[in-house]
Amino acid sequence: MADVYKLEDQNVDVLRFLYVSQSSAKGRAEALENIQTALDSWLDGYGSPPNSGGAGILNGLDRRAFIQELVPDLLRLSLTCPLDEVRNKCKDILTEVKERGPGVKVPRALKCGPSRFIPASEIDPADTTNEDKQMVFIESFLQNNRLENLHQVMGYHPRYLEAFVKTQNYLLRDDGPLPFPYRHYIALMAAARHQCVYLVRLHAQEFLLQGGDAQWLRGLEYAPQKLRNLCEVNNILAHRPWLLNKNHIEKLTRGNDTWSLSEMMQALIIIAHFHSLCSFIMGCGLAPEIDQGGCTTRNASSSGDDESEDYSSDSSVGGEMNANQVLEEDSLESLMQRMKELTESTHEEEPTQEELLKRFELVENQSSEISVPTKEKTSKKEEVLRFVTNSDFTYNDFAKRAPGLDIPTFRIQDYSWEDHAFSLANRLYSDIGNLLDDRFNIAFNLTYYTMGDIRSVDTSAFRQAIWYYIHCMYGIRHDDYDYAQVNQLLERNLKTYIKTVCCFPERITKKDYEGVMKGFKHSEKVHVNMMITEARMQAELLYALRAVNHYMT
Amino acid sequence: MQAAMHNMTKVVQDKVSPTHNLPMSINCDGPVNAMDMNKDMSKVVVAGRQVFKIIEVEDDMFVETSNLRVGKPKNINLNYSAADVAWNHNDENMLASAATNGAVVIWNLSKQVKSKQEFVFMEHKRSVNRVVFHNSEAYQLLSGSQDGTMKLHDLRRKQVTLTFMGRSSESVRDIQFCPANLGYFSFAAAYENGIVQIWDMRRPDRCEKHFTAHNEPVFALDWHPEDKHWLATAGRDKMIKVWDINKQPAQLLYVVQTIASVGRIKWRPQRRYHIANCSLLLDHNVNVWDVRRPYIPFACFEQHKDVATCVLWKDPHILLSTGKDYMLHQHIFQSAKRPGDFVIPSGVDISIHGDVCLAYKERTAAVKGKEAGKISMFGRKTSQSRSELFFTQANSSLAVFQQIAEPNTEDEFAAQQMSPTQLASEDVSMTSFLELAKKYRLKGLTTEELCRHNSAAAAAVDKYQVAQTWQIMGNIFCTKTSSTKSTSLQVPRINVTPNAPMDRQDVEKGKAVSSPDNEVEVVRSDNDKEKNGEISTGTDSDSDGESSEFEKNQLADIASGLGHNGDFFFGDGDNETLSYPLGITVQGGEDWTQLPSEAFQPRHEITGPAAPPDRLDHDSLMVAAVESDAVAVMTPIEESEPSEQYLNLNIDCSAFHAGTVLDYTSTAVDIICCFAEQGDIQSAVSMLIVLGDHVRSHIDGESQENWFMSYIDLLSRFRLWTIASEVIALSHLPQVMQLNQSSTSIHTACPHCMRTMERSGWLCDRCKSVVNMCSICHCPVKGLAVWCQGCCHGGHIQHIQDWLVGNILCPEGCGHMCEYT
Repeated sequence: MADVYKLEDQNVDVLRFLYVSQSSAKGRAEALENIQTALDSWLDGYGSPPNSGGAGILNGLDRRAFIQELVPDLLRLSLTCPLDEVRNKCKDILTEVKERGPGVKVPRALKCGPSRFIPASEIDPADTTNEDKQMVFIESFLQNNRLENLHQVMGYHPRYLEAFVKTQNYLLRDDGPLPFPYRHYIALMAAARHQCVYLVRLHAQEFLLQGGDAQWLRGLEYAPQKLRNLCEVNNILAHRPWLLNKNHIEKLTRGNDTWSLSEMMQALIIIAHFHSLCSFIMGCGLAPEIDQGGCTTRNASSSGDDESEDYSSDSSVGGEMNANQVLEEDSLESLMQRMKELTESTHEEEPTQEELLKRFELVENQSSEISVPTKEKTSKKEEVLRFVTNSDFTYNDFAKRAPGLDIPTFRIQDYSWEDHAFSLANRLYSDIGNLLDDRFNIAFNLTYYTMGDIRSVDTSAFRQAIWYYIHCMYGIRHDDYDYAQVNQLLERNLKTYIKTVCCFPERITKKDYEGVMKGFKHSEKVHVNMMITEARMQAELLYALRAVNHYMT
Repeated sequence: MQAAMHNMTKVVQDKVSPTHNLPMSINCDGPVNAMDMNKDMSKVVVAGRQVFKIIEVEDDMFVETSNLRVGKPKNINLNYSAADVAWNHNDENMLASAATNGAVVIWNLSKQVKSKQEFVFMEHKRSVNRVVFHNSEAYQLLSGSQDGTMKLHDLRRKQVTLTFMGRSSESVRDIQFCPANLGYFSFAAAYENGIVQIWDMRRPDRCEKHFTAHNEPVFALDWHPEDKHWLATAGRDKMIKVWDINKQPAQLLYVVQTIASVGRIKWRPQRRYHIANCSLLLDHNVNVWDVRRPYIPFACFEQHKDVATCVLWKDPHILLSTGKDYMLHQHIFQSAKRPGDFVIPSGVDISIHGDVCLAYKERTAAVKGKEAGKISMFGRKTSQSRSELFFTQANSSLAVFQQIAEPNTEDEFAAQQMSPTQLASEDVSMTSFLELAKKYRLKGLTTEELCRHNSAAAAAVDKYQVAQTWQIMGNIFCTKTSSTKSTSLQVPRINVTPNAPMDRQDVEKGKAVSSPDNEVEVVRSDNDKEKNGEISTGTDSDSDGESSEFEKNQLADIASGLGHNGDFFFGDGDNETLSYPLGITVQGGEDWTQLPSEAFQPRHEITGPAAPPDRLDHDSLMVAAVESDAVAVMTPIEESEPSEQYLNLNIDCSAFHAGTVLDYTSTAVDIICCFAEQGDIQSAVSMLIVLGDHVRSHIDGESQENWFMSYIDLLSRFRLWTIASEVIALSHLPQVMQLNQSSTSIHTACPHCMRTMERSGWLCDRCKSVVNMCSICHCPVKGLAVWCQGCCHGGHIQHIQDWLVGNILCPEGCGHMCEYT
């Protein structure tokens, strides 16, 4: 293991040193120039004029080690920065380091690109020529000095990406009741629930950059009690949000180390945001950032096992599933056909109310019958597990919820996002409602009227089916939706996929991704993942906000 | 009808309520979403997810008469769970309910069987949000749904006759028919995107009116029962808006700000301005608002334990409401809580003349102090509206405090000074500002001369403090070049009205309002704070050699831990002298000229800037001196001793080393900043300009720019354009200098088409012709042009000059005797 990655040992100075995301071109140019000059003098140790510092020691830092740490970040900038001048300059610097660096190993990026599922050639590169995307990419870069792989993949849907970046930025970097390190730590806790190494690393780094205490990164027990109190809510929301009630909220707001309502609101939204983001990240198989394990110093020849090292998971499972797939494989055409039938035959005969409810329960039960690939993966990393309590607590089908608890189906008509949750969110954490509203609307309504290679399709039925199916898995019922449509439009293996991505994102594999939605383009698959993300987030938020509402009244 | 008659008698005196109506309630065994009444208001239907009941309203209690929800208690049929319910206005036995699954269900109470369900329309694809019967057409039912359509159902034919659909497919949240007597065919619809539309039933293809009422979803709307042009809307943005829809575009008449998103609204019958609302979440009260008083509910009912979902007026004095807490309540208006009673109305403001105005309720303590006028009645405008409104009679007083001369002020003081009143008003009315703006010289002389000139100018308008500062500035910055000579500086006797008139005012205010009112307390403590702040910042100006005993007193006061007491300054029997001329005699020392500021260096110590270490001894000495001064000053006051006291500070400065050049730039910078902080932007900017390079680099550019901008703004407001532009030119700040370089060109207009000629002064872009040709050579004038304002002819300046040598008439031949000046 050449590239062991340690969360708490990251050198934040490296990132500060490489901070080039000024919004003005001039500022960037200066920053780059400074980096180059500094590196120049360090590389030779005693250039001209001779550097007066002791051999290899700079401000008490080992200079070579510093450069070594610098290199992966430089590599990242040189490959994924959406700004031409930064990319080129970093390339130059890197070449120079390679030539002159005394024993500095220059790594190379793993080949896979931003996503392990989607070939790199299918994804718009950082220097895309599409102007819309370019703008969003640059905006996202300027925010935290990196173009995340996540954003690059989301770049398929620039409108959504824009709303997404705006929300995330508001949640993490804008005015809000929570201190900045807290926000990233909460994000990290949420991501750890789904063992999303990608997010854990990213936010561990951000946490340090915001001046967080590196000790906390050693595990939950090192974090303040206040944050640890949040664990229970985090666990419940991640897997069985319907169990959340006002007692949980009360526990947080009473006693020592309390959360104020607005702090808690922000925390809840961050938690829901990152839980669902895990679904997206795993669902799209995002590769680690280049400087966070996405590069290697080994030779090209030995890289074979390297690729699968960190995020492996491809080979082990799927045998049984493949069998299913072959049987149920369903072509795009037949899906089109069914959608057509649905739209044409709306008036055949009115199903009775009882039947409609039965249909809902049927979908609910069926969904619980769908077996998600169960693998007790041993690769749960210590890196992530230290932020997790009660790691055996996982999703449990709503239909099979403990009978004694008497948790009724959540009726969307009684507590909807538009009428109730929105106002509550906005009241406790101003403006967040509008941002989330935008996201939900874009995710729900976005369509390009295509399916695979077929043009001008009304995809709304298909999209609705996905959205409502996810809500159904979390026990949320829309009275005015005919749940039979879900069964008609979503074949079994797609349901399996959705359920896995939604509830057990850590178990998704490349085979799963490739096995479903045959004939769909990658961008459409990303679209589906995006909808899963948002629908799940809404479901979680509905439960969370309803609990807060009950607590407040 | 009986009820209506009954109401007629009640209009006369609202507070007398009918005796036989009592507040009452009933538990409906489930959250209620909606309710409606039959036409004679004897029965109520309540509907919710698990509730569908008819309840009889009797005089003293509710009685449940029938339950329409038949079958198993856990009936899963969604037709029984309604989001809205409506009772036919004409047919006593007909009900309609809207189900969340998109069904519209018709109920017939006259059916003999157990299930009263008559017919189900399954026309809507999504949830139905509202059903309403037409007011007079018994068989017309309108429904509005989440799927963006409104459908008109004909109950006789049992089918949908018309479908109304807006351009967008936004969800319909509420629909209401216009009251029958006002518009037979009209109805209004509220959409989720904030749009409200007025439709005519006869024209299903498009709406009559369309306007954006809210930025967020509209949840409710209600027609005014009497005024057909008034429509109230309410939504998630926590606002109730009243619109005049007759205007084009619809005019917003009133806005009421509530504390939570509004679920339902209902106008109060017979009260033009009253509207009841209930909230969608968090706020459990049913509030009744007077739309003219939008910040506090006129009345509120607090019975509900969970959010109220629906309100209905039985008559103007009886209100029914249902809630998610299973309850149906009947509220009697008389027993409502009036939040207006519990607030203490008070307000404070200051006029441009420095008068402080305080409005407060009379039950607070009587006002002592100097009240110039007492105006009672606050909050009521005409007696006519008084009878109409039922706000608590707010007896309040309005006191206006004015600056009044102290009767017992020292003679000398009175003789020398204008009364504080005059001073105050003058200070605020800015005459001295204008005077100074015109008189100040900012360039053309040496720094020293400029300072001297400006000092004289300031002295001329009685701004002694400023004048003194100018003088010191001059001294500081000229001595650097002048040779050392030995002179004696006699700081002129100055009578200072200490610490600006504002301070007096504050004290007065604090003193006069001794009521226990909270707000006033706040104001008062603010005053104290402000005063302290002024003292600490004011020390800079003190150090200019200008001494104010008054402030010293304050300082001493603070130092000795005594609280501030207005009477200390303005007490009646107090023979206090407000001015102590201070003479400073300075002996010897080569750096004598720097002494005026040196003498008060200790005060700088207080505010911060560090003094060079070699003066430390002196500093401590001076602190002692100042303290003893204060004590010395205190004593005579107590003993009522003669009013004049000279303070002679004899300072031996021989200790200074010859040739030590002390840098006073930081002092000057402090002074300038201090002026700016006090709001005297004029002095700050003028000094900044005059001292120029000496201080500019020590003040950060941003505040400099701010000062300049505000000064220029002030000057322009007083139309002192030339001075403003001079200031701009002298500013040295590129951002400010730019002001003079923008919009400097004035385009002439083409004489034919009046279009401004932007490209060049002699070719019109529209007429495509050359205009304003020279009268002599008939060529276009491309350089300097001159023309007669009488006949508008002219041309090249040289040609006209030549012409006029020998002629007096216009060269064009128009016969005008041209005059060129």
